[in-house]
Amino acid sequence: MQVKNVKIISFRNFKSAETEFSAGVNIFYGENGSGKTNLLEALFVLLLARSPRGAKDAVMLKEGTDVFRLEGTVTAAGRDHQVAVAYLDGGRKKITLNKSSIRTAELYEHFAVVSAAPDDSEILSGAPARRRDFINIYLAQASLKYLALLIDYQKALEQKRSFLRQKSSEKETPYDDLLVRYGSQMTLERTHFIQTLNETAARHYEKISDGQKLQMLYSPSVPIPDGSSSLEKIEQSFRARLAKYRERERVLETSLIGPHRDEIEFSINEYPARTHSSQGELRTAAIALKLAVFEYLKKYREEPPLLLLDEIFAELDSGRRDRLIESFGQFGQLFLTTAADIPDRLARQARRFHIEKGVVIPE
Amino acid sequence: MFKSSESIEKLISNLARLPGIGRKSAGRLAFHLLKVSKEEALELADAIKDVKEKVGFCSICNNISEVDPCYICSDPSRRQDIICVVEEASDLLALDKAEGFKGLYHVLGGKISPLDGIGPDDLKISELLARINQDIKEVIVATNPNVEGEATALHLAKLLKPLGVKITRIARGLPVGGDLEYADGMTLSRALEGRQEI
Ligand SMILES: [Zn+2]
Repeated sequence: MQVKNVKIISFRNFKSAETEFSAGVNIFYGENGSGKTNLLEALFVLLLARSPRGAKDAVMLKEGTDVFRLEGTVTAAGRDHQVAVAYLDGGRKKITLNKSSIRTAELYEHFAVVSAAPDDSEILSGAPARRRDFINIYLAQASLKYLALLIDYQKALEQKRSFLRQKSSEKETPYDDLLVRYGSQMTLERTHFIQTLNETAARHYEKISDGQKLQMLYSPSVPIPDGSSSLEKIEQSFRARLAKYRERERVLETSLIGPHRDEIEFSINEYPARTHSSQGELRTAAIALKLAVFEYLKKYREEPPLLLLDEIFAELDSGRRDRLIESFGQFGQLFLTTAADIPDRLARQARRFHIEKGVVIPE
Repeated sequence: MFKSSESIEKLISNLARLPGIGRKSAGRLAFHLLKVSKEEALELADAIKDVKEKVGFCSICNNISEVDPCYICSDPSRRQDIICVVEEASDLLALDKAEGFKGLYHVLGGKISPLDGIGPDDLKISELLARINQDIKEVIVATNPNVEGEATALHLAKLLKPLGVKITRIARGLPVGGDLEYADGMTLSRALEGRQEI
């Protein structure tokens, strides 16, 4: 995966910027608020038409404008693609790939990107929705089937909520069966994904933190019958759970059961990370998690995803910085912002860009 | 606008009630009708009148028809033991053009979509259930292959199963996001052949 060049119009603090990148390491430096992080975000949005930080599209508009546009040449699986993501007046997004208009989902078919930033610690310590969003962004890049399920599940869920708000006398909603079908498959896909991430992230965390233990445990809204990975068993469990909560769903007029209520529990050295871990531990654990995702996507897609690293060296000593960079193994194109010193291995081959008030100046 | 003529005002407000027509376009249409010949304008009026007087719904299958029962329900050469359920009459037309299928139809008149204010009771579902007797061997559910179509299919399957009839769903050979109405004949025949039991 490689972004050869990019053109940015009315995005965050960029009025209009255009630049070409190195196929290897690209370093953005500049003062706080210069737009380094925004530039990383623009690259993410160019590839997947959404913000890695979960920002709403309208929030990414430059102040005083109502349209933004990102364009670029992206190489994936040895082929060059012309990509454009435009946010239009009125909240619609228009995405074009090689001059034909496409749906967002098609971007996932072609591109993959992993982003790591300081606020990733919220994946471990924030609200459950943050954890589900993390799973969704990265699992969707590895499994188009999961992405399709996610989109359809969301639509069916909106229908169910609307039905519940209309106070029908009906016992079950006409969307329950479909939610069971899509939701059970999602639960199964999440189970496998989280199992793999758990093993890989633990290995990386142990290495970066000198022997500490990280654990990631899937706690689905629909309990999975002991060690079972049978879809049929999950569907049964889902139905039973729905039946039990049906009355409450009717009274509260909302849907209480399903993957949209899943939780993922993290623990560090066997203590719940949310309540017991220091900010430093959380950040390092979040980096280990992103390393695991990077490895997963690299293996699945048979080429390294684009890698965006935002200030991740800030709190590490030089020994840990070197070990961290080693951990990524063979990476493809890398973009990073940093105020700290850059490990020699990266600095030697890097192309540097000075970012100043929304202007990109290649060195 | 022309407040002087009451009849123009009446025409404009009637046109403005049509879906997708605002006051402004209604005004444009009204003044266009004023300019065309009397024959041309009355032809439109007659066409509307004809449609409302002659075209209705088949009392058996809910298809759009000028006669009741419709030409499909009254055709003895068609198989009488198999019913294909579709969302709209336009889907029926698309499927029937595809050849391959020579059975009966049932038009639901939409799909279950609470977001659009359409619940199961707003569709011709009880009418479908009433048609199921010993002579009916199979019901093919040919609702569109999208979220609402799937939910409608599952709902129907749940109601039909206790009646002991074989229920099949047309194969998902259709392009994703492509609705029945726009699928070509070849895709539809293949979808009908590849139907699976649900
Ligand atoms: Zn009929």
